[in-house]
Formats: sequence, structure tokens, C-alpha cells
Amino acid sequence: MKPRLLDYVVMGLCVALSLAALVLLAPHADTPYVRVTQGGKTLYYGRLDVDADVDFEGGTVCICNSEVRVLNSDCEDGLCMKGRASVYFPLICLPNRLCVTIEGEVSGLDGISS
Amino acid sequence: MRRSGRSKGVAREQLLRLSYTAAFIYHPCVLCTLKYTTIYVIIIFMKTLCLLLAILICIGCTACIFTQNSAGVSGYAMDTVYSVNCYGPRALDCAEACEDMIKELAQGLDWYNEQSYIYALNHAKGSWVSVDEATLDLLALCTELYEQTGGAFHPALGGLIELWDGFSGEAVPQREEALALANSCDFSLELDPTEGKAKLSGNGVLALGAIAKGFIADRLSELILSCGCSGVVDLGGNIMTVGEKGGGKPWTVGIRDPQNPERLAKTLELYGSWAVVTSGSYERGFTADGIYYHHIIDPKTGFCSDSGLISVSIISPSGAVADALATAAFVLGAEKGAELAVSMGVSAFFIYENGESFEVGP
Repeated sequence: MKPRLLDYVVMGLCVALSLAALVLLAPHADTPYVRVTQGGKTLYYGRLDVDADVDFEGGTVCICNSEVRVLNSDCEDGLCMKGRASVYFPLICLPNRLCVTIEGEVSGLDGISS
Repeated sequence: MRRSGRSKGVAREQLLRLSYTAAFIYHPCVLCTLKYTTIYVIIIFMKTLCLLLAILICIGCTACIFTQNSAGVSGYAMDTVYSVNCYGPRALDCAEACEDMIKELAQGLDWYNEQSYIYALNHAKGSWVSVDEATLDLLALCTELYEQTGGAFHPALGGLIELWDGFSGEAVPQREEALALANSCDFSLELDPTEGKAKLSGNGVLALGAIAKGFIADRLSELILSCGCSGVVDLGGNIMTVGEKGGGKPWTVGIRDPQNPERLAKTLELYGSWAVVTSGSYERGFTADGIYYHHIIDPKTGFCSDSGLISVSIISPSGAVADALATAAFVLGAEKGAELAVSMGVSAFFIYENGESFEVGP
């Protein structure tokens, strides 16, 4: 059976949608994301360039101007409030079992030993 | 000219469609109009359904490209954060099996867990205790590494850790008190592999924090490979690459710069399965009266190790060896630590408190 014009339109539509899916579903290599977990449970996952305050049990993580800090924490040593997270340096608060990481392919690394 | 059967079929279909149209327009019967309308609606519905199905299959297949070959799990165990990323056709099953293994081994090696063999050994008052194969293997390795490091890696410092109240910041013991306890913390362990039993004598209290994560990483590595996958295991900063990354590319592992979070102290390119383990004074500790106390105890003094180093990283095929040697080299200091690394055939990267660094390799 000779393909008709409509068949070509349908085929073209399928190819176009597949390509669109390819672009939309592909991981965005240059977009860093922030993940906040407490006790292994993810509390927040969002873009680094979107400001947000994330409350966890014992304090708050602040994402502001593409910087991530622990704004306040009820832990005794307060070490987690002294620095800010980077792709090389997750913020960890052991007393609160909190882990703040910046993810994405930006670092080009498979792992960081610390 | 002879027409093929296929062309005949098409012609028949077109004729049928034409007759339906004609009937729809010209036939006065309401029932017939209803019948032909229904047939038309069904045909259009079926065609639309086929089109949607084709589109969904195309998008589904595209999505599969990104999802079928990798899977990761992360969580909290052994008082730290872990993550395992697996790559391969059974990646999801593999990652889930890894998570189960982490939880099981972490529980089994936790000296505070009353159900663990380690707890049983610590409370057996010198009598034989039946242990499982994994614990027996680990205890054998502990004995070997304790001897090879001259006691710098000490797996029975539980009493001192309790004296420091787990480095929670609640307690800073007197130096004399810590020294006295350190001198009494002996590591005397007997193993009976045929009977699957172990016996702990003396005053030492088993606390395997300086080797357990590395040991678990080794077991995870075996599991990932048995699943036909490759991957990266991260147990609280203890990194284990497993198998080949693919595409002829190396795994890239960074070593954190303790003094500058914006950069790495070193980047390693590794082919195959390697453990990269770092022991650092910056990782865990507390400040009391303006003095910082970190968690790496010198078994000779019972106090925080004061070797002038801020971190030591060991690169070895074995996670357990890398873990134990990182602690031992940190305690021994740069010179003796480097000698130990060379004698054990592993690579090591040292960073001094003043930021200077050097590395040694086999």
C-alpha cells in the first residue's frame, strides 16, 4: 500500500514528539540542584537558582542567591551553620542527621572522598 | 494490466467508504444514517487511538534511554549519609539489593546494637561467641591490620570512645584518665573459622568505626559486580568505584580540600574498582573552651591524634584496607604514615594542617 500524505504527517509527528521528549527528558547537565535530606528522607529537591527556605526538624536551610546555608539549627556544636554547601562540599549536621548536597553534572565527578 | 490482491483490497475499502458516504448523504432512513454514523465514529476513534498509542510508544522508548541503565539509592546508616549509584541492565534491582545489604551489615557491625555479634563479643566476658561469616572475615582482617600497622589501627577503642561520650561535645576527659584507659585497651582476639566462633579477651571493647564502612563497601562492590553492573558507592565520604565506567572513560573521584570548600585538593582518574578513603580531623569533632577536639583517637595517648596532618587519603583496591590505613596513617603522622602506605602497596595523599600536601605510591 502506498503511503498517503496523512501517513507521512503521522510519522513526522511521532519523530517530532520523540525528539521533543529526548530534549525534555534528558538530564540538564549544567543545572545544579539542591537536595536536602534528613535521616535519609528527601525533604527538598529543587534548582539552586531558585530561592527557598527549607524547614527540617531542628532548623532551617536557606537557599538564597544560588548559595545554600543552614540558617539555624538546634544542634549543640553549630558546625553546620558555619559554612555553605558547594558541589564539592555537602553540608552535614550529624546531630540532626541532615545532609544538604548540590547535585548535577556540574562537578563532572563520580564521587568526592572526605 | 493485472492488479495485485493488495490493490484490490484498497479499492474495495475506498468503494465501501464511498458507499457509506453516499448512504449517509442520500439514504433517507434514520436507522441507516445512525448505523453509518456509528461506523464512521468507530473508524475515527480507532485511528485516533492508534495514533496516540504510536506517540506514547515513541515517548516511552525515548524515556527508557535515560532510565533503564542507572539507578541510585541513598539514606542514613552508620551515623552517616550513604549513596549507591548502579549502572547496568539490572541497575534498579541491584541498587535496592545494595540498600538492603547496607542496612543489614550496618546493624550487624554496630557495637551499640544488642542484636549484633560485636555487641555479643563485647559482653561475653572472654567466652567464645558464634559469629556469622561476614563478622568472622572482618575480625580476621582487623587482627591482620592491627599487627601490620603496629597498633595504629586499633579496633578495640570502644572504652575510649565512651570516655569521650562519642565526641558529642558533652565530655572532655583528663589527659591522665585517657592515657590510663588507652594503656589498658588491649586487642586480644581469637578466631575459630572452622567452628565460626570468636573470643575477645582483655579490656578492649570492639568498635569497628575505622573499618566497617570500608568493609561494607567491599561487600557492596562484590554484589554490584555479581549483578552484572558497575557503580559508585559513597559511604559517608568513603568512595568505592566498581567495575568499568564504560566508554573507555575513567571514574573521576575528587579529594576534598578541608580548608577550601570551593576547590578539590586532588582529582583522581581511576579505571576499575578502587576505594578512596579519607580520614580527616575536620570531619567530626567539637569545640570546648576554644579548643577543637576531633574524633581520631591516638591509641597511645587516648587523646585526639596530634600528628600535624589535617587529612590522609588512601587509594586501594580494598575498601576495608583503605579505611583502616587512612586512620592508621593519620595517627602515625606524615613520615611513618607514608612508610606504612608504601609498605602496604597502596597510594596515599597527605595534607598538613598548613595546607601543604604530598603523595606516595607503590
